Amino acid sequence: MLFKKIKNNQYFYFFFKLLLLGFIVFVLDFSIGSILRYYYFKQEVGRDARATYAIEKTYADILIFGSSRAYHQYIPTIFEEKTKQSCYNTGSPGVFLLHSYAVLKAVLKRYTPKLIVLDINSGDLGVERESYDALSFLMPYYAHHKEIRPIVDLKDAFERIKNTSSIYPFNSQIFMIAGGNLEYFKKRNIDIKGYKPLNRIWNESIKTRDSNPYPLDTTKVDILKYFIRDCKRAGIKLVIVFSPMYFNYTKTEYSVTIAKQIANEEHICFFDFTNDTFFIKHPVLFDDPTHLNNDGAMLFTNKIVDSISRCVH
Amino acid sequence: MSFVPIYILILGFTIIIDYWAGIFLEKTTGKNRKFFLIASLVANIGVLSVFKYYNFFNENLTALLHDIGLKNPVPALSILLPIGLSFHTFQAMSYTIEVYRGNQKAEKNFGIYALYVMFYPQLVAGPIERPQNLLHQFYENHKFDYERVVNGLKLILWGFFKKLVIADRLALYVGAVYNNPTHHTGLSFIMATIFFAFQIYCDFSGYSDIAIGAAKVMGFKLMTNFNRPYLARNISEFWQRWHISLSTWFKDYLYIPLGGNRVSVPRWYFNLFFVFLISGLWHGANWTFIIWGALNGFYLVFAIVSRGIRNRIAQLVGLNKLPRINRTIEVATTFMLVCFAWIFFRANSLADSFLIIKNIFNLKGPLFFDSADPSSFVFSVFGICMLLMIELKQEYYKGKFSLFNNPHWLIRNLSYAVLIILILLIGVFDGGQFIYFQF
Repeated sequence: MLFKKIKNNQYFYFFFKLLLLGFIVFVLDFSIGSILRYYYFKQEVGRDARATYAIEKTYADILIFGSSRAYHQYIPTIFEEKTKQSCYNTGSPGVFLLHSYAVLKAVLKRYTPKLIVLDINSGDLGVERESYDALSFLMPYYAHHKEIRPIVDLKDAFERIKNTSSIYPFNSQIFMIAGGNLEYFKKRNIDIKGYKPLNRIWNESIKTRDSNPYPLDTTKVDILKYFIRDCKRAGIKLVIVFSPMYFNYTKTEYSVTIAKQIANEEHICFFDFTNDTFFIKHPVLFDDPTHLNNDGAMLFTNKIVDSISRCVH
Repeated sequence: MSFVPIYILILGFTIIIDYWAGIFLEKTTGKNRKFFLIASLVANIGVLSVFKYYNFFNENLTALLHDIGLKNPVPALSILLPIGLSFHTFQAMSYTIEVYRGNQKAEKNFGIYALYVMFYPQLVAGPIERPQNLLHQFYENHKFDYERVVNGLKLILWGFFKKLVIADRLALYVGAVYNNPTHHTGLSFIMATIFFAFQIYCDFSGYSDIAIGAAKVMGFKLMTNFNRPYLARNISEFWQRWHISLSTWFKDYLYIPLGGNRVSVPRWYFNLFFVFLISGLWHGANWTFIIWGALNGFYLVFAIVSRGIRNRIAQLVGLNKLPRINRTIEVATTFMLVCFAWIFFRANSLADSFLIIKNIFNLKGPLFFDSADPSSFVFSVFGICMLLMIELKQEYYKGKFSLFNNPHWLIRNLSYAVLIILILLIGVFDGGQFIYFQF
């Protein structure tokens, strides 16, 4: 009787059908989203597991932040041996400064590390879309980590609305999540306290890179300043590093120049390995022009730990 | 993409010119009518020329003069191309031409005329409407109609699926290959070109579906813009199914005024070729688009010239007795020809397109596969398969295996819900924009 009444009124019928569709979508979204969430956080190795460890679990004294150049170049065990303090490398391929700052926010919510090493990348402060898109990796933490929301919201004006879906935080990750739960991939993706060695040897000649100024992304410049401010406020010793690249730079890369200026103004230790003669004379220490291999990473980590010790003491 | 509010004045300028041109065209007779038509066309084409083609022609002039040791004194303009300029200019031109031809009464209400040009669902990327189809709809009373609203929403949902799940996903692979042509070889170029064919189709037809669907929800009927073009059996049919509103625009306002096919055979071939050359130029101020248009024109002329021979070969081989196989071969051949032309459309420069064509047959190298995100390739293939299944069903099995129009409410609703879930699960939400907005 009621259904007949509804069916006779076009408006009621339309909203009834819309509600019905909404209900089906909600049930599917919630169910599939919950399954994806369960398996996402069940991963023990791989990019997602390392992100979860950095954001929710680590209590290491020393934390390393950055992109793949941090991930493949800073060996936490060397830090631990030399400083007698625990260390974890939160670096992750394809992420940038914005991502590092969000992870820092989540870490500071739980505890205060003693030392933070931030590896800055060429072009980190320039105008480009990728660093905002890379915030997608933090979507699974959006619901339960209020502190990272303002940074993730920089990605898109509608991020808050999109995150009302239970599936959306795991968008495009279904195979990654499945892989992260398979024994086969677990064995292949093992890292050492967040560090993953690269083993190729680069054998091509060095290339020259111009470094003319380019438009800066003021949001990213501000984020670097906030990163420094938050570390200072928490009493954390911060060190910023531009690690070696197998390029002949005509002059210091523009983002590095700006980061160095900001670091100097804030009295933060900054180590610039642009055109470092030791590394650019030894291509065998590189996996590719932008990443050191394991041998290079060992030499570099030893070098940087000594430099940091001298600077912070 | 930039937001420059002052650019609204460009639209305002052409709207005012065409509005008054329409009124004067109706009031006057004789030679004066032609004057008002020409004034309107000059204003529209003039705006298009300045904003879209000035720098292109100027750059080419500079290069030409440089080759003979001279300097070009004409400076380049530092201007942006207003979004959708080619679309609303063509829509405005169709109004004055139709008023001139007496097929359409001049619109007296300035607001209604401005709405005709700026009707938001199709303002930036069509369908390019005709005044006879759209103007009268602004005077009609649009009541809520359940079926119409639901059909409109379905179309919007399907458009979003095509755009977010298929087009933007394929764009990742296509961009990786086409933006670095020196790093890739044959297999990757073939894959990227096929992917681009589906990317541009889903991008543009996805937008059209959203536009037509949004208009439908509000009670307006816009013309169909795509009709499963990759199932066309020849190039001529392809152009009857692809960007229909533009193809018919060129047919009505350029091809037929040039004489169409009611002229000598060489002139007919010229007419076909010329229309496609202009169509290429309409798409973009770049030699890649011009060659793309010319190539399509050549295909059409060649198809006409070789029709007899092709039919004879089909008879000799016995294909005319195997209609299904014959149809499959025809569809596949048409698709390959279209794909080949897309190389020019997508390549960043003419040099890149020749490099790709040179290397596309070198099948020795590996197929590019993004090891950092292997799932993207799987999602791409999944999206294309889903699109093909739906389009093949619509083309050859009308009324059968229906999901979105299934008589059972649960299957119907589940189908929509699954489409929404797939968008959330594997759609690309990062930074994509519609390719045709740039035209």
